[in-house]
Amino acid sequence: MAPISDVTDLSTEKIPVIIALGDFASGVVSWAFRLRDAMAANPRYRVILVNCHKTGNKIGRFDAQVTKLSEIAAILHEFGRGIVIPNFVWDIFEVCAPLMASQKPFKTIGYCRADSDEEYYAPLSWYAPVITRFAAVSPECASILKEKLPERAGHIYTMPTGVLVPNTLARSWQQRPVRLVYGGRIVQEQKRVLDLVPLVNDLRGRSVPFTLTVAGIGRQWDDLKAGINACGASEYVHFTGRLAPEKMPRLWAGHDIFVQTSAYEGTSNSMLEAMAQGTVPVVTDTQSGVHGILEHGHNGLLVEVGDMTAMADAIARLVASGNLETMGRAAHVSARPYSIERYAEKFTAMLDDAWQDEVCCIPSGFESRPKRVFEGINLHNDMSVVPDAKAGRHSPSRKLMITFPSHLRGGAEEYTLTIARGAVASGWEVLAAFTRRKDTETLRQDFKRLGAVYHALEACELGDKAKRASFRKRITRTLRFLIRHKPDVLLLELPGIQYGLGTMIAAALAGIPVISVYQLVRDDIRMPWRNRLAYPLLRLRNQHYVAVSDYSRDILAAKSGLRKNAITVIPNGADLSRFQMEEATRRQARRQVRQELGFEEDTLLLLTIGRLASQKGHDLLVPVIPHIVKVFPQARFLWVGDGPLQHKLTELLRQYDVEPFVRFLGHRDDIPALLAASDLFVHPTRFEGLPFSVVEAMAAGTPVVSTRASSIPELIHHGETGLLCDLEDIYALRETVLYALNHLDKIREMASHARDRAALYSAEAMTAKTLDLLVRTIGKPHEK
Amino acid sequence: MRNSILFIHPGILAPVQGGGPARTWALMDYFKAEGYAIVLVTSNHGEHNPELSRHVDKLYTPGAAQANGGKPPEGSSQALAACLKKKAKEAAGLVLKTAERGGMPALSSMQRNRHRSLETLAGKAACACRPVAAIATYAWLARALDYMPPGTLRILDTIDVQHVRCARARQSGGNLEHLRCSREEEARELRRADILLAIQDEEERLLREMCPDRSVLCVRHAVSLPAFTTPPAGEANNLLYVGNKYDPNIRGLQSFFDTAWPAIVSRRPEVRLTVCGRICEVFPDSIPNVTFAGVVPDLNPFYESAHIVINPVTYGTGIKIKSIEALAHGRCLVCTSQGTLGLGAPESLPVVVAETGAEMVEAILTLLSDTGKRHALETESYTYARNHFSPQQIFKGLRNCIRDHNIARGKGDV
Repeated sequence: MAPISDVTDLSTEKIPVIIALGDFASGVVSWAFRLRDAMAANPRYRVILVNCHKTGNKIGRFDAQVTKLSEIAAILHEFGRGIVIPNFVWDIFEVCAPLMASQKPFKTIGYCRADSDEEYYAPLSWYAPVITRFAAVSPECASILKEKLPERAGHIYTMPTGVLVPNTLARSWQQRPVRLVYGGRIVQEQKRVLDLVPLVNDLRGRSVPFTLTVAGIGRQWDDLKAGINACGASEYVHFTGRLAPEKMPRLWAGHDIFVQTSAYEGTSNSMLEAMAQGTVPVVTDTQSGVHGILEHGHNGLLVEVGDMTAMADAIARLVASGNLETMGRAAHVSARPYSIERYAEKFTAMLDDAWQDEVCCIPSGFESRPKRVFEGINLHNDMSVVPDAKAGRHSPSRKLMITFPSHLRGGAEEYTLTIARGAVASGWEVLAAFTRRKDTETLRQDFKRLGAVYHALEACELGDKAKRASFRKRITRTLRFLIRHKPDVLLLELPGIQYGLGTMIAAALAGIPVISVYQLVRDDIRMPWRNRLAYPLLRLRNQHYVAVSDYSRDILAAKSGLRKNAITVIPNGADLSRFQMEEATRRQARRQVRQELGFEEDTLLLLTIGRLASQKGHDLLVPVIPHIVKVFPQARFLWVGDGPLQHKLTELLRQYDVEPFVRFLGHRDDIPALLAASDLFVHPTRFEGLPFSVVEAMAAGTPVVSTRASSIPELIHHGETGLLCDLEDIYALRETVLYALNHLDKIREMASHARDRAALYSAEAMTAKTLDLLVRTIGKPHEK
Repeated sequence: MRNSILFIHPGILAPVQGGGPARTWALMDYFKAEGYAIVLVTSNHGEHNPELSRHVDKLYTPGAAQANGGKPPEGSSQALAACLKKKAKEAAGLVLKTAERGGMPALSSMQRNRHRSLETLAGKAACACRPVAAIATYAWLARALDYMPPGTLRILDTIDVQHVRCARARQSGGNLEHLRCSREEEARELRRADILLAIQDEEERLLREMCPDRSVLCVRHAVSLPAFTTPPAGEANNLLYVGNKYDPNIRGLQSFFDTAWPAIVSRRPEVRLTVCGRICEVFPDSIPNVTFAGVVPDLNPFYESAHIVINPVTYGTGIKIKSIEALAHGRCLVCTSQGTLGLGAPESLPVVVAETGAEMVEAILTLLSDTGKRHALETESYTYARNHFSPQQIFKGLRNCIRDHNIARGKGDV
């Protein structure tokens, strides 16, 4: 494409503001065009839009098109000065760095457009020395950016977005059918567009008359269409493909409800555009970009990420309530502060501040440091000063990728953190790839703190009918991911035998060895026939299987058809040092915990640690509690953990009139202190892998009463290192707990034996064995 | 506020089919008359739920039926759930058979017949009404008693000793494999109760052996005697059989049709047999002179019009509740010795015992022809039932246990 001088008039004295972005059908593109129009009359600045995406300037309104770094360098050279704003094209900072280092009049603004570490926080942190000012699209993003760059806090602006807001609304709303619209990139990793399939299904199931317009393009276009077709909803859903930005206001005004299913956002341009036209937003409650704009029930509706039942319910209720117009008008009013005119004013102020900044903080040696490749648009690297984007990867000796399909934080996920910690300490480069959700936020942060790099990756699983229809596409996506990141080995942590096949197949195709670790193997769950068929073949592609206990190995072997000796047993281990306390420390912990919780010194504390889910059996403990407190009125129950059943368990406790005796402690970081302070650890679980919580209780010397579920008898020998009772037997649980409380001396003696036994289940041993297996796996290309 | 008793029954209580439900009704009626509030936890009876509700003070059923005539509306999620549950049960049955064919250990009746929904519902009911006692029926429902709050007297009405039933059936060529369990399994369940109710002496002895640390009461079956009515005047030709679809009943009646009925009909062509109960599902309609009435809402008219009641059962355990009901209606009973199980000392029983088909034929034809003998036996039957099976007598011991427990927990008498 022609360089910019053929298109623009360079004689102006206005300072060029060069906004580089990709020509996607996305909110950012719409924003850029609006901004340029709004800034047209600005006396000081002139906005230049440069398309960096290889598909070309299809809409035809960009000022320039580049595909190489040399071309962007040429544009900057032509202008000789300016403010450069790359959007998702991080390489451009590499081009700006030498210019700024040599004191050329160039400034840069780094935009944070989403609450995403790998997409924004990581590259912005990396390029911070080259960035004059930062703009975050939401207060939440700004806050996180300030945490990451505290020394630059004063340079971080909150700049949500600017949209066209008509003074009055000249539109109507209708209920039958209600017109839903989604506008944005058709991608899964951020936008979770495939959630539209269950949403559509649910609305049909509720007999809500509706249509859905999907405007945009993206990687998951085919997947989404296939999913809609598979559930027989194609007559209700219309795909428009890419629409020019000037057509978007009419699109929004012609619909009643804007739906968005994103896992994370910055501030959604599309949502605000739609609100500006009186379209009611029904969106997922992302951490960023929603609060402060939406007031649930007033100008929009919020649901949890992934909860399409709730979204369908919200839509159905909204339609039935007849409040579409009221809410739509409220949405329009709420959008007014985000008008492009107001935005342009703030934008100008930020440009002024950046332009006047005379400090250039690029450290010496910036150009020679190892380069990193980030998510985004990568221009072809044809410049000698910047290593090739494809080849310029910092190559560690070994690269481990850890992935798992679950989206909650539990013991199994803690296991992956332990392995990652050990791997990083042993010199591995570690990538953690798992779904991005609110519930995995702390996990992501913890991986980052360890020194691992996080990438969002949706699990490639065969699930419902809609997912099966696009399984091939999702394997392809996982395959591309693996090829791009090229780990030496993949550690696949699986919560069950029915998971993981897609990832295993993708890894086999990519030639990447896999260690699959089965945290949970249930006797009552059938292994899908596909998995049974595939496992022997996958072994030929250097894939290995790990069970966390002998019990799990035996069940896995029986269900998979693998020989027992083809499955390695690496028992789960805990960081035992955290739980080993001097007696004086234990007594202090006992006092402090009771004090903190408002209990007397002689309170008997019965501790249960585990997710508040059916698996862990808290509901079986509830009918036992009245009998315990009748005999031991000083007994109190502490339940550590979060989970979906908290509300139901609370109701059950009220039903049995024992709510005052149970304290929900939620997630806690002081497990060692709680264990040290407790008189009994009660584990009424229905099934387990090899539970970390029991190992930890044993290590802490806390007497254990547990069911005989799964592999627990391998940990606890009844009568020697603890007490066991039958599964799902309330009577047996009651009698065993009563026995324990009536024989505290005896059970404490068992606990001291248990402490010795716990030494067999250390995190060090688990990590060492796992890393050893990883190394051996890399060394053996083919399993005979 | 009245004290309450919680009853937990897994089967069909309305319409009454079989001895177990009849016994539970008898207990509920008795304690209601004694002034207790009756709380019932049972399976969803659909259109019969209102009938149950009228008889008790509070009814708990899983997935309560809609107001649509007691049935869930067609296409509703409950109708779908009911259909799915039925299919799941069929599938489970298939899995069970497959497992057994594959040599895998089959589930015992203690596991197979568990009603988890009733167990948790019993807990909910108990928390709401705080009963003085909870009475669960059948050993496989004993786990419901685990959900009782402290202070509730936990009583298990065993009805039968389950591990013996299956063994007896095998010995007699019958098939009650679906009730199979071991003595240890059954004892483990029984120990969840504070008091075990045996339905007859031999079972009381067995239960004491199995659970020496538990109280065992022998509480026979009781019937509320209807007013005595004489059968219709004129030629005596009406026979009656009442029974559930249960292997001992099926074998007994089949044996009767094979070895006795043809001879009876050929010698007295006017004779008619009416069969009531789910046992009718097993037999074809084509048997001469037999009317299969099926499950009927009220058995009284059938008893009133019958001249003789038969019970040709060939094996079993427990007590023959249908024999007791025949006596309670003041009807002549012709039965095998198995049919007298639990009724009392054989020499004092006002029944005609006939073991073989030929004996049955002679006994029945003799009674039909001899009006005097028949009338005498009718009176004796009614008197015997009044003296031996009245609720006031039979349930007195249990009532006293519950009353004493209530006094001990400081709540006074009823």
